[in-house]
Amino acid sequence: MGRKITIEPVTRVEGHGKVTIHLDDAGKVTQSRFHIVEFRGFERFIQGRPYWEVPVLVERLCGICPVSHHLAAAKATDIIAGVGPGELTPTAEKMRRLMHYGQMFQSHALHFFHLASPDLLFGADADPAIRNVIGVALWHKDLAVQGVLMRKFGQEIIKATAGKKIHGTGAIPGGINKNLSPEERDAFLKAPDPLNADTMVAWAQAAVDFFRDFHKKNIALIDGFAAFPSHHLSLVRKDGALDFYHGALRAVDAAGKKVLDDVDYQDYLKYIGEDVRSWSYMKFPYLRALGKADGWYRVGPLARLNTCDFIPTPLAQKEFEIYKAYTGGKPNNMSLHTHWARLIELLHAGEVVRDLLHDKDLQGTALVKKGRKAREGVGLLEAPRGTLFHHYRINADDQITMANLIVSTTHNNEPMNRAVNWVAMNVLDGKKDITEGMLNRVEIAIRAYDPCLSCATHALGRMPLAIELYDARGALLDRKER
Amino acid sequence: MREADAACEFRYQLNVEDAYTIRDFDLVVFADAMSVGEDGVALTEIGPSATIAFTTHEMSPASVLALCHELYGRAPRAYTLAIRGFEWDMGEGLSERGRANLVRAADILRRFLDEQ
Repeated sequence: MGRKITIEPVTRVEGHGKVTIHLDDAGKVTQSRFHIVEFRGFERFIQGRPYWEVPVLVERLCGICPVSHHLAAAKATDIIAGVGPGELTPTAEKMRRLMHYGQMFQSHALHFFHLASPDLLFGADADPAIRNVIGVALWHKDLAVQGVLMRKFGQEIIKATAGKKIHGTGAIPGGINKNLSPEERDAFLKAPDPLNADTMVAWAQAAVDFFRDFHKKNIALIDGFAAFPSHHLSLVRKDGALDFYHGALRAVDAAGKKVLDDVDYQDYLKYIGEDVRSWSYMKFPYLRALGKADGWYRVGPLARLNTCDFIPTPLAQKEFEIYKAYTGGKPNNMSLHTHWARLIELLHAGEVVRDLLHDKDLQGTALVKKGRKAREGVGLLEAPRGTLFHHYRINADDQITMANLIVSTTHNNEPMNRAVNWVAMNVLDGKKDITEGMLNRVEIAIRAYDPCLSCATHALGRMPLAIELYDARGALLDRKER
Repeated sequence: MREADAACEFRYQLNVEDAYTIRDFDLVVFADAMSVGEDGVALTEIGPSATIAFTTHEMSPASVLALCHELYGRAPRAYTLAIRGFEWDMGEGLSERGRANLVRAADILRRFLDEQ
């Protein structure tokens, strides 16, 4: 009798997810899926609200990555307020960049040190009782301490720029509502060790060194696990540099050929479509030029380092050159190399935060601009997990009439399914006994993408967690609920 | 307890950096709304527990204490102050029963801290 194996919930990702794997009577995998079982309706219930509320409303999609939504919404409503990209005051632009790079820093630190590192440090077959952040604290204390303080440093940057660590109010249509005082600046630059910008950069460099060393000792695992070719999409600065805050759309194929380049993201609908499938609330974006079947792509650290030409800070650029040399300059399609890419981005974010803190424009007093109002605006940026789209339309009374959000994790829906399928085919296929370690490998594949499932499906309220087991004919064999 | 000896911080949710925040305190009270259970307010002593919630969206007070203990060699004495609420749909303001419990909770906390 065939079996359906379900892992629910997927541990150590944000939100709730379910994996189902169908086996036939011989134990061979016939199908695997990563289901998103949450539903949220932000795109509906913000309709009717005045557009200037949007940056503080939509960030409530998430308690882990609200800054990304806050800033993407601000960028979209800048357009509505008549202020185009590049037209903000220097103080506003740089405060937003400081906010954004601060959140990239803390998000990447949190993900690697506390979500992904337990699997790498202890192995997929380790006792679940230690394969978590407490276990990291017990057995790799220095790493855990650094992870906690890097997260704290980034959160304090967010508080100083957005007003609050979670669901801040700093960015408004056309600008920002506060600058950075000299006292706030000095608290980051001159704080005693370790909570100062220089130490954060040093620790980020140490994190990259740690991973490179770990990689050398575990090449087969890191290179081979869930490796599959794909397209990659991100924002890229005009000169080809990695830029988390602003740029034009670029997509490359698995061999590095550009399939989209220098696209103004206000026109994203001409280039990006969204497919819907019956078994998931999460949509499946695709490049229209390539069609629904072949047009899927990855976003996030792996994709960003595949699409950009260089990183505009020296230490991260040096690491980028080592990273690119590993694949001979070609795109990297190895899922677990996402961790390497994420740590290089952590280093870059730390360098940018440190350098921005020295910029006197942050103490400027010109905070907001206004222009000729428009009825529609699109805001795009590179969130920690990948490219984030916010698109709004308003009516003559300034009320939102349409909202379309494509979040990073949604772009990675198909890649995560492919990663789960890789594990199902290579690890679970044909086995008679399913071990906890095998199931954890499925989760490792998903965790590489650092998904935020609440963002992807706008979940509201409590979600029931169910484990369902079906035979090959679809009959329910067993069900467990939390 | 003197007001100068206390600090009050708001969190949307607890996370790993809160282990650093509480490391030097002698006593921590984690106050939060409660959506299930009996009507009223419950002040309960808790200890460190290494049981990690399945997502880091919700690090429990007990796991924050456990992480604090592992990282810094100690954890403060800790309590949860659970305040029963009743209306969770989108809207503004508290329900009448929720507001009454909030007032009750503030009174309980004040008296508890005065006893320390």
